Amino acid sequence: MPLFLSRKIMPLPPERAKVVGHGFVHNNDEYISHNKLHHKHTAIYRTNTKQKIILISAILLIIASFVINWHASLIVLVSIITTALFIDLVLSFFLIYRSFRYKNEFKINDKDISDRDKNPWPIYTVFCPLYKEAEILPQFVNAIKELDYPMECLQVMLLLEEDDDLTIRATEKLTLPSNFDVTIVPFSYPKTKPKACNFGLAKAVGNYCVIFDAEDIPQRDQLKKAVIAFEKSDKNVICIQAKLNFYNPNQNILTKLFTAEYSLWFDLILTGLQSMESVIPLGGTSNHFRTDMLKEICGWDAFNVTEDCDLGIRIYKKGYRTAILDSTTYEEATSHVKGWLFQRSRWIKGYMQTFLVHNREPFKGVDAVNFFIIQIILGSKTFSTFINPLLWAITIAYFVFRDTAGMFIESLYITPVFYLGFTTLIVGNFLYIYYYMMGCLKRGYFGLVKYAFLVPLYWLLMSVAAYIALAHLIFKPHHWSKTTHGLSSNFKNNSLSAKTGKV
Amino acid sequence: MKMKSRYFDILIVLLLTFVSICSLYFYYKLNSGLHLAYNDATSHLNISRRIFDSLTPGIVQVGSTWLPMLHLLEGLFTWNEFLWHSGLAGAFISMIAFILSGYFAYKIIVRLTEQRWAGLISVIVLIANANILYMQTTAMFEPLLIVCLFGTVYFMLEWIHNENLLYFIISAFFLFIGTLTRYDMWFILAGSTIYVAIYTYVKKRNYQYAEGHAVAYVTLAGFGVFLWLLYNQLIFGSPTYFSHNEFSSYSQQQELAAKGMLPTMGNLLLSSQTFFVATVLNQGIVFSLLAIVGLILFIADSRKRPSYLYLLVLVIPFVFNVQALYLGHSVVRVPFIEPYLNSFFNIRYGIMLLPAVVIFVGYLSKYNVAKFVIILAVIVQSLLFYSILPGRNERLTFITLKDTEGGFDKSTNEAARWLGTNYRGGLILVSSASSESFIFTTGVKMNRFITEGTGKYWEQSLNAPSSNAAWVVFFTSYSDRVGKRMVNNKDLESKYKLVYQNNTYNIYQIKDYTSKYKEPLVKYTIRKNSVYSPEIYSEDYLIMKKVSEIFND
Repeated sequence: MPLFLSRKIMPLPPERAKVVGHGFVHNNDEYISHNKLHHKHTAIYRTNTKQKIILISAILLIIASFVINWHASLIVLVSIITTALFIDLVLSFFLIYRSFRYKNEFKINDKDISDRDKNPWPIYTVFCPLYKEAEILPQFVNAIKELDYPMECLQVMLLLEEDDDLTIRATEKLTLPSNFDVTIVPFSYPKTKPKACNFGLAKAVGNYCVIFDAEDIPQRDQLKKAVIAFEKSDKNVICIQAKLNFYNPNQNILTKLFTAEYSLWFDLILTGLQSMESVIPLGGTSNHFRTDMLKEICGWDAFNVTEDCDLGIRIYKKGYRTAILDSTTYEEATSHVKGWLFQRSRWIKGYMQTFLVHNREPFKGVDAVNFFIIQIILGSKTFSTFINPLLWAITIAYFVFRDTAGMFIESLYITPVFYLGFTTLIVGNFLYIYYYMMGCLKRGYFGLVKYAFLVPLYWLLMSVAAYIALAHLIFKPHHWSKTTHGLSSNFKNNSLSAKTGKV
Repeated sequence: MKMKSRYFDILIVLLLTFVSICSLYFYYKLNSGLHLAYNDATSHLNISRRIFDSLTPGIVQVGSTWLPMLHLLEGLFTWNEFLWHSGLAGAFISMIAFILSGYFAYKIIVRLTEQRWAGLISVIVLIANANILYMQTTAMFEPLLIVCLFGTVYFMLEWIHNENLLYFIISAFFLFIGTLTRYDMWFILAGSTIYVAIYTYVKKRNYQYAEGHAVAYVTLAGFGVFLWLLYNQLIFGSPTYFSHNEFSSYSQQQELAAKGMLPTMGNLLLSSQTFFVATVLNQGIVFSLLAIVGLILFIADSRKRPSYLYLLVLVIPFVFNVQALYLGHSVVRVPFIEPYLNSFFNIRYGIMLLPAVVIFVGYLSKYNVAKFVIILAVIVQSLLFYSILPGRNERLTFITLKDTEGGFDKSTNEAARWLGTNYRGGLILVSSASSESFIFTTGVKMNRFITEGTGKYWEQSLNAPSSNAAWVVFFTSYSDRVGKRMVNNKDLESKYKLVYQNNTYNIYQIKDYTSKYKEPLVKYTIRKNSVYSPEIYSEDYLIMKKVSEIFND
């Protein structure tokens, strides 16, 4: 789909929707989303007309200013980039400070659970979307069996794709518990996880529901904790996000750094956002919902490859809130660079999609603070992954070729911006490395603390992923780069305790 | 109960603020600029000002002679010309440091003894110390170092007590600030990191737990050291430039050693003796004795809570200063110790033990009997500090004030005042390495000076002053950096005339000055004062002298 051409999008006719589910006709193609979310809230297209005009005007303005005075234009550009990075640094600092300073998450203890055990537990629906993951299915079944939740109150929906014969056959061979429903999602485009979840949502009978990926191992009492958290929270809290982490951090350097990053994100950044009761970009799985409310806000955007992040923001914009639960779901960290790159590029592409979707009506449903947070979390943080290699190259050039290039580089920075940039370079990079350390300490991964010094290499990989993501956003926006699981060395060990032992 | 505790905290801060402001008023107003008596104070203010206001402003102006944190913090105020020239820019930083120090001392003692009144007594011990009350009005390093030490210790204790990582981080942060303030804190960094490693290992018997915490602690706390090495590498081409450049304390001490004026070098006993006396003179005899008793009791009690033994880092400044004297990196002269020939120099370094004295005396006050003894001690020590015993001279005489006399030069003041009252414009060539006090005392704007940090202006002007300068100022002995280059300088001889001369300075003015420069004369406002009463000593000092004589005999 060309980037700037707008084509009319029509909802599927009701009679057709009755047969295949809700969706759109776009450019003579049929897209099934299995929900009624309006197309302007979806990533079926990248930009609306207003955004296109702004984007084209900005590009023309930049080109014109470079033609008129390229040096002055560069100075302005450098100043804007430096200021944005500095603001990002300050916000991160603020969030992490708050995550330490305030009690931000639901902590449910054993006594709370045993007290609640006296009353019946509500029906809970567990969605598990699967695609070509036959080999990991037994682990998931085991993980669900190990859950401390009355099995008769649990509806587990295995959401399989119609064209995934391998997984369908594997499911047939397994003896599944009676509360497991195998649901075949009919073949249609887009072929994404959120579409499958929407399909499942329509059939969910639980008061609450949650998504687990196939390789997930939630802590045994997570569902009970989530129920208690919902019962203790205000009615406008319709989503509870459990923390995610990995059961294979020590597999190699990549998994160590990935684990450090997850610890930073879920244990510090999200809890910092929670302390401000602000918008929370949900993490891929272990998002618990009040089912009726999730249906009311039309479930997930089937066209967005980070539908979780999008949903988190949509929840906030609709006037509802998300809370963080002190319970962890352990996943498998991607251990191969290639697999990691594709997974990360999907995430970055999704963040870009979400950024564009929520900037179609940027001020609707958010106050100034949360508008600012959305711009930083989705915009500035993503943008920095693109710009980082360039800034590092400039820094290295400045010191290595100081005699020749030094004067020119200095001329691009007016004095206050130079100091701002220098502070961001030295203090900023230090702080970000330190945040990773703090994430590891807070999570209890003490052995990973020292690996935070290698994080700059990880950032480099993130930048590579960002450029792949940009290419994908342009050429195949709805393509879902599937992450391969089952590569962990202790994958075969299905025991939760064996996999989640602290490092 | 919680509210009461908060009110008590507020009262403590108000008390400290009140005392701090009274003290500033006393030295700034009533004694007309005594807060600027240290020449180093004016140097610090100048360096801070140059970051914004210089022929070549920038971070490089912090140089490498001193660690930069004080100058950077003073920059919050020195951008304002009045605050710079009045010295208030430095006083404000020191006063904030003093107030925070008192508050942290209070909180530490409350944590140790669980008694608010004991905490209050520790604050009284702090504010009864005449030396810190004076130092907190000056633009000197010591108050900042002291608050960093207090902050590091207080937040470490809080982390030990409630395991909130935020306190762990803040403790490391104070150490980070401290390591960029004075080298004493580099030793505290080592001590604290070792402590974190041992404490965490003993607590969990888990190597990774200990390693993780030690790495996280030293990464932030030691970041200042890393930055300083990086700065020296990037700007001066060597990460250890600060330690061996011609203005480093080591280089300066080597010159003294060559002249046989560094008797502590290689003499551990004399080094210890010198610093011990300096410490007692700064802390007061009575407080020092009580602190030793408090320290012994604290160690004896530590079996109940061995984790609090961390407080022993408070005595590390003693170890640091003794080793610095022994290795010849530092010089302290205490007049009544044999080799120093009645001279004062850097005795104020003994004030670094203030946190140790305040905390260990404060610790004593957990015993009810000791509370009364300490209150009595406060009264006696105050009398000794201020020398208002019957028959004494009414002048102020405690040691940090006496210590300022070593650097005071009356003729420098006179020469600077002369230039300040006759200045009508133009650039002034002068060596900042030798004449910071002169530069400050002139009251002329900083961007009118051509000094070592001004790059091409400096190089050009040393060869041909008239290329940039309307004034040339150097020592009458021609021993400073400008003077050395002005010997037989044809440009100087032909284009300038000598307009002022005294024992210390020559001031040359370019010919036809009055026709070229017509800026209006500025009313002279600089108030830099000195005690200047070498024959007067405090009771404290005289007692120590007597004790020392007995030991020498």
